[in-house]
Amino acid sequence: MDVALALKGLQFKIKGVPQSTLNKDITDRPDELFQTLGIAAKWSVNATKDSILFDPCLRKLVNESCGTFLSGQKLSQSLGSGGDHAPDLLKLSRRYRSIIRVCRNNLYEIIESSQQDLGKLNSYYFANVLDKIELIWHLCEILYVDVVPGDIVLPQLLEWIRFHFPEGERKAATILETGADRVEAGFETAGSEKDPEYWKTVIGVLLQGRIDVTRALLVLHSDAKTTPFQHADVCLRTMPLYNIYGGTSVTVFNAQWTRWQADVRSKIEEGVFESNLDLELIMKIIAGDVTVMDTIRNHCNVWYQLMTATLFFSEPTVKSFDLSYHADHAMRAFGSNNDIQDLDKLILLLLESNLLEVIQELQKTADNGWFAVHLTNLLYLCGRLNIFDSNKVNVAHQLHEHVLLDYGTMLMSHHSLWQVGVSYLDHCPPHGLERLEILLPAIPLTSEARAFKIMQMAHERRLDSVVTTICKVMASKSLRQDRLGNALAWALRSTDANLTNHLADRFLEGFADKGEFEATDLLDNLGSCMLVSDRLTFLGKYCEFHQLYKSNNLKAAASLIVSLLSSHLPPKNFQLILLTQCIPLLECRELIFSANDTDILLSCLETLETELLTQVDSCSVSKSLDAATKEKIQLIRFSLARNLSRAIIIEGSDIPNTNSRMVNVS
Amino acid sequence: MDDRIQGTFISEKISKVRWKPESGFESYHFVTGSWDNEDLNRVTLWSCPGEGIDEKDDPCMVCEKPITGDVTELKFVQNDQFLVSTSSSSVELIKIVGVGDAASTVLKPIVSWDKLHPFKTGELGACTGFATFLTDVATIGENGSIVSLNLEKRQPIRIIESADSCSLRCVLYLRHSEILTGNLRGQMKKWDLRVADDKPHMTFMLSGDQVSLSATCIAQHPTQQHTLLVGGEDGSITVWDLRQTSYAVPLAAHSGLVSEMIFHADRPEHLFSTSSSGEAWHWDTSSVSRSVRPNQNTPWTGFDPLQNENPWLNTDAVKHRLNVVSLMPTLHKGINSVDVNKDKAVVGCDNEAVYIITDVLNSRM
Repeated sequence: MDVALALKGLQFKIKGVPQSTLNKDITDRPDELFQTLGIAAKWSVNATKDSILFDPCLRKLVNESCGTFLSGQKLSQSLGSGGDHAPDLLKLSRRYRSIIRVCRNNLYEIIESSQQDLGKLNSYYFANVLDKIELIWHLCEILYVDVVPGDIVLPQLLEWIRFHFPEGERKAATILETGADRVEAGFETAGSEKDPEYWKTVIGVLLQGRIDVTRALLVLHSDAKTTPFQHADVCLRTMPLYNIYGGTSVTVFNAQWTRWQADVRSKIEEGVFESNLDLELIMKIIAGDVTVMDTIRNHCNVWYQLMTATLFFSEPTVKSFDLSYHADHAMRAFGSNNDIQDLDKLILLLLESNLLEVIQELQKTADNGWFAVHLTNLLYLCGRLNIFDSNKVNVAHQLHEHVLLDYGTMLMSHHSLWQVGVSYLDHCPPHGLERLEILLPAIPLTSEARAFKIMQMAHERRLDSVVTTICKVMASKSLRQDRLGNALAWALRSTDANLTNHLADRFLEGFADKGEFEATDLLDNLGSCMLVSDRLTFLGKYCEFHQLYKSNNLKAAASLIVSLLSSHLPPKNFQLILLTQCIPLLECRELIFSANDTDILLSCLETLETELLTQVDSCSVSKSLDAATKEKIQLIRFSLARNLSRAIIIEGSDIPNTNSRMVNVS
Repeated sequence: MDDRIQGTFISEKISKVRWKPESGFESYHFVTGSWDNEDLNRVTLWSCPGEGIDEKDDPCMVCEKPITGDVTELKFVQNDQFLVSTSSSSVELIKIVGVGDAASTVLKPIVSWDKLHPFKTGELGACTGFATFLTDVATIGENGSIVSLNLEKRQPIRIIESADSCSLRCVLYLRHSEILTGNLRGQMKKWDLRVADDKPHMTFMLSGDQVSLSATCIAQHPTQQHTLLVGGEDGSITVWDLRQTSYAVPLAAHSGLVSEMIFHADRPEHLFSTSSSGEAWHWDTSSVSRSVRPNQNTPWTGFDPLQNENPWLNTDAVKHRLNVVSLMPTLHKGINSVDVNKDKAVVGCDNEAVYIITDVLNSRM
């Protein structure tokens, strides 16, 4: 076996796996420290308000995975149209895993550079959770996303174990490296067995299915050239390895396998390896000898490692539906502690294909459903989520929606991540939109910039009621801040007649008090907006009157005020003010109001007076108007009368029509 | 995504992003300002991997400074000094000290002007932006006031209390002492800061029919200063010629609020615009400008250079020749800011990421 080649393969594999050994001092005693600090070291804690997702480092995970989630949704639209989407879905799954991995690596970097013990511990805790998430995600990917033809899962499972327990391979790499150096330096043999970890490492990589590395390590043994070692190498070299795309059928392979194992067993019985006990042990392992079970167990950290190791030497073509049996078996064989950790439970559930319980368990994890929502979504996209209720109806869709709703709502409650939450709620029809309609207006409108963002989101989703609500809230907020102009600007956007009526009244009140308008820059430029409500139309027109009056366009001002008074627009309490404002126009040197106009004004005055009198009658004891009003009415009437006489004379002398002739006659 | 785009997640939503100017040389530092954080927002200085280093490396954080309130505008006034305005009604001048050595670089506050835009009730309103002209600064606020500052003076020079009855959303110096503001309803006002009375000397509406849509940002053509581009809430970009006050036709551009527009400082024929609908666009008018640029070697072609040299004022005629390309694929969250330096663009987004895009000019020629 070529040592260099094996080494190269290993280094390639190890690259990208960060050296967690650097933080050994923390990793060795986390539980103890967590306990003293009162932090639950269990990876499943009750979801608290302060989700770990809101940690700055994990926010990257939230945001980046949201992008992946959305590209998944885009993909789902094309799923119905046929074609093979398996590679795309696998890519999606890998992208999620790489996001987790990057985030986890960032956390380890923080742990290394951080000075504070508490910050370090938190980061360590988060990294620990992410490690477990990735372990499970990877297993899901193997079992449900990246399904191989023939359902021969063991090669992938071994890959999974190798990826998450890289210590064996890492140690093998160092041994191979020093060995190769010694050979290069001219030593006759590498003598690697002097390394106290040598045999442990050999067995470790063997149990992870790295036959090539095992052989490379054996070559570095001082006795590598002796007969037992030569025999062992032959055995290992001839070991049949199942390759899905190799063209061998499972039956043929199994026959080859049995023959090869029988061959190895007979060699052991012949005592070929007796001279070296360690070597004999290795041969017993590959022969599937049950007597070495205990040894195998001692070399495994966890039960699923034991499961894959024993399967590799007893049933290499195991199908995924048999896994739950083997898992159970391995768990019992691994034994030692009876209490099953959450992680073990999840793996067991996955191997049993009990996805509903997996998702239920995941929702309890410390990441506030991040994992549950993305995994559920992926499985849903893959069409692997088939969960039946008591009536045998597939409720996968409901489950998917429920998980999305939960996660989206949780994010919406966050001060800054609410925008991400919206993306998830977008993809759970029909309840998502309903929920958005409730949640969007509930976001505090701290600034106009924020209001614009929320409005835009509502607008894009055609949630017009939300847009209106936000405008109204902004209007009343402006009003509270004593900014009538801004309040009106927002009220106009809401196109709410009551609100604009109210604001227009406030403007008019202000005018009645001070004799001038606030926010003329806005009122003079209302344009078609003034049609939102009657009162606003009046306000707009009334401002126009003032503009005309100021610019000395008296004729136009007069006709505007006449049309205003003859319409139903002016509020009752404003009619007198309007009529009073006619006085200067009536008293102009030049005649401005025609006889007809004056008639209209006069009748307005009469109606107003009667109304005022009846009003006074009904609610007060005194039977007459107050002096000021009385005087005003008197004054207006006087002006009107004078104007009428002037008008009749001028109109009569200028225009020879029947009306004027009648005046002349009289 | 394509090779030229490098995204980095920075764990906070970014409202502004600016390259640190290097007197016309290529810049390797940029500053981001964040918004919508629960307690404190931040301005952060980042360094980009320069030449010789693997281009694929993420930008690294050099140093940061907490800011109260959302960052609403950020602009450099010198190579190592920038101004930042906040939603908590203040403007602060910050100096980057010791940029040579990353470990000892700090963002040092120099001057801070607080409580610039209070409402009548005493409550503080957001400072929504500012414009600069040499050492002069004009800030605008949600309370509708304009405050004129000078970098060398601690007290405001002038305050136009009720410049606008609505919130002011954008501002620009047209020339020294003359500014243009845009408000919540798209009403634009021109102010001469030397004139004592608090009245604008010109007012016009962004859209002709007075439908109230907010003006969101203004950009002035770097060389032809009478050309103004105003971005609107509906995603439209309106081009104004200040020499004529006639009504301009808005260009239907983005599908959401135009968050920022910026002309390339050295190559004014390139414009960059971003929107809250997740678009970042590069408008290349060089093909239009070049075809009509009077050339000494070629005979007079009959074009009237004054009429045609500026494609922005003649968009109807050159519409089919305006080259608009996306800087990056449309994002699922809003893009709030863009800045260009030489051949690199940086954009800041609501998905808590900054994207650095290289080769923005060359590859598209």
